[in-house]
Amino acid sequence: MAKLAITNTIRALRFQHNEMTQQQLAEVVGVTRQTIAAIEAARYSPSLEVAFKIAIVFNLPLEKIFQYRQ
Amino acid sequence: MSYTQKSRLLEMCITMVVLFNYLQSVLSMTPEAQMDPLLASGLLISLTIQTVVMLIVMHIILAIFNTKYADQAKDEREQAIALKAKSVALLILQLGVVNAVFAMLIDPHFGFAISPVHQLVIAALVSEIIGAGAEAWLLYRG
Repeated sequence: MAKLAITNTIRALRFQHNEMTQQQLAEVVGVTRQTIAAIEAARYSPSLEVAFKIAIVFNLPLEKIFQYRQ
Repeated sequence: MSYTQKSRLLEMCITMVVLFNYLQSVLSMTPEAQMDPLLASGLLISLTIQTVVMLIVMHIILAIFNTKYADQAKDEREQAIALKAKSVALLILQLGVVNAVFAMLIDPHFGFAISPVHQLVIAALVSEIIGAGAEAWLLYRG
């Protein structure tokens, strides 16, 4: 599947947060581990709700986690 | 492999078994027997019972081995994928309905091995198989 224009830094942020696993992040956000893996690989763009939940987990503004490439 | 993916793959396998049994029963009938409403309804009832029983058993077994994920609802990505797969299944079903109607119109002139009514049921089963397969594939691809 083609990569989307929205990239993110979730993988790096997970490692900075005590090497949080995809499963742990998925449980906090309320999605499956496969969805987190797809978001990290830029194969799926999350909804605003999930994006905000991820931002809350890492305590960062949304634009620090998700970037839009034109 | 996620719980949804496992469940859809198993549903596809079950539908394939049901389709195989149904095809076997229909093809063993004479064209006159195929048009008999009593026999056709009996076949449909047995098909429904087979499907329901196998799906219940499958979901019980799957839930026993995946207790953590069994009661979890589909997340947004899985819901989006399910919608895409349903649109594919619907397209197949539409083609099946058009085929059955066409067969019904020309059947008196040519005579097919499978009567249009059964073709409709087969189209529904095939659409279910393709829908489940497409969903499992899209879930795997990410």
